[in-house]
Amino acid sequence: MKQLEETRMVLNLIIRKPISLIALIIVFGFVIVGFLAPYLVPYPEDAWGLAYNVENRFSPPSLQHLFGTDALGRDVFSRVLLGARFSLMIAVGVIGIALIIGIPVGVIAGYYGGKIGNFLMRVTDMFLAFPPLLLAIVLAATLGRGLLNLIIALAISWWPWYSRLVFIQTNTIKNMPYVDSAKIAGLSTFRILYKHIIPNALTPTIVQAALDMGSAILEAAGLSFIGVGVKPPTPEWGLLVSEGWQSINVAWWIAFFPGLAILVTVTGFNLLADALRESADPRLRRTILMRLGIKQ
Amino acid sequence: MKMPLLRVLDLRKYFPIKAGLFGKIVGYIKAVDGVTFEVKDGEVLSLVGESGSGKTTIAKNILLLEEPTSGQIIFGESDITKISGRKLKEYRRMVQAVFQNPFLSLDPRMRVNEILSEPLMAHMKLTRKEIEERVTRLLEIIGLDSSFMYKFPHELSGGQAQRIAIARAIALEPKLVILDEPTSALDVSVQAQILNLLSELKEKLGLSYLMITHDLSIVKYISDRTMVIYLGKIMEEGPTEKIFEEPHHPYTQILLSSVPDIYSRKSEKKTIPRGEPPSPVNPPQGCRFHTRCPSAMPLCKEKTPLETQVDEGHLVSCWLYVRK
Repeated sequence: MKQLEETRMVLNLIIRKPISLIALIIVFGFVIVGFLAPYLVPYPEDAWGLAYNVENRFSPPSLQHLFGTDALGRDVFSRVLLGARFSLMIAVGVIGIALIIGIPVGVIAGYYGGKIGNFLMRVTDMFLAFPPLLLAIVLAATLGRGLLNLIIALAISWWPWYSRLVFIQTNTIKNMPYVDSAKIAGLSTFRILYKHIIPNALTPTIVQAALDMGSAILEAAGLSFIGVGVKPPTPEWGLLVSEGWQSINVAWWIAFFPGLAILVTVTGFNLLADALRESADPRLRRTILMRLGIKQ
Repeated sequence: MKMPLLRVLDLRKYFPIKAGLFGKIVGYIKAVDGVTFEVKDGEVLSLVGESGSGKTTIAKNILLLEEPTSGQIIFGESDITKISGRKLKEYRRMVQAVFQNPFLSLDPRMRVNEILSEPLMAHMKLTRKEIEERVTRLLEIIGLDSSFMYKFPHELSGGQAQRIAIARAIALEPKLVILDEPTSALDVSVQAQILNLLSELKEKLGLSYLMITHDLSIVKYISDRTMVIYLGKIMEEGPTEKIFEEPHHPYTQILLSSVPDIYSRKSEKKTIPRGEPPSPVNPPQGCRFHTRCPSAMPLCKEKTPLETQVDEGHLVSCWLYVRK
């Protein structure tokens, strides 16, 4: 009930700001396309890369092929559309796995400290010592090409950032008088973590995670582009760009449209994350409401 | 004779100072160094001292937010320093606290009704409706109407927020409430209201208070007994009136003379202690106050003074009053 009310309020705030609304529409559109792509694509066989149509290769954008066709005569529009599904799976998978590992590690290390905390944070530091993209490349190359391997590789290079963030937040918040008050009120450690520490420690992490959705899509595209990501003929955006750039002089549309899809989606996620940060915090929310001249 | 509710016996709390790569302990901060006192049933005991004197550490030890290095804290019949499980929960119900800054002691993400129902839910099996009734009644007791139920702490004024913190502390009908600088973060006009509320609640609910403060004007107003603490040791202890009328310890005298008084028009010469209080890492040998004391004697540097009774229930730790 209360959660619902909160969500409605946040949504209400986002809708009132044009740029946030655009971001919301982009992200919403991306998610819907991601879910429905298999049923939306005009040429399903082209989209999944099962059919070739060599005599129709390199045809420029037309009504029949909105984004033109590629080197094998496949409809680029269908492939970009279906690519949204893979990007969505990657973004949700990577961030989801990274949060599932990162949050408990950070909260436990931050709250209990001592030997356990030290151990967990040193492990985190070990991962942070590698440049994340390099670590992801090494992992992806070791695990082999494939969607699941790509997600795992990215998640492994990603979680330490969250555990570090949650650790710092937990460490500050556990010393707040309201946590002492909760102890004095007789709450169990589990309830203190669950009701006070995690909700307060998570705001920056959730914002970071929302922001990172865009980066995850971008990094996955990067890995696919250099050839350690998904296997062709999977229509992943990075792979599509990589397939298209060789023939960019002949047919600009093959690389351009998947690139544009990446740009629009990533921008949408970034703008939405900004809007979320502003409205998820009850204190910041008040200033926004005042700025918009709305009485609470 | 009033029964002691809480007895603190030779309480010590040392914080280790770690240095170097392997965190070797190189010394201790002696925040509280052998403190003994008791809070009687139904009384208000004030603990007065400068910042760094260890008064908040004492509160944290009694509230079991920190574990004492040594000593006993006896509540009712039993030592509570090592309890856990159901006994700990029972103790939590009896001993509550109000902290200095209500905006820090109330979770910014919770509404007033959640804040107030939290202790109730932790200790009692109540239906949703019973909880709501109790929360409404609590708000009534502290003088706020039920429209405050769904507000966030940041929507309240300092006084209102502190009232909510007080309401949470009394929600479980405790015996003892520890007030850690309950008014220092508030406007002067609001301070009086909060103090009145506290005295009123004490009568109504039969509470005892252990009040920790550096503000001597509130001490005089509210407390039955006063204890002056300096660098982790008690300097003087006695009925509030006696302490204010006839302070014995040089430190108490200096503290009291620093209180501005609008009635005395003559420009009395104020005695101001020389310098800063020494570090609790290496507290002075002998009497802790000798480095700043106007009447220090050679003996003070060597030996810790004995506690001397100068009047009924009035104790002083100073060589000036030890009968030779």
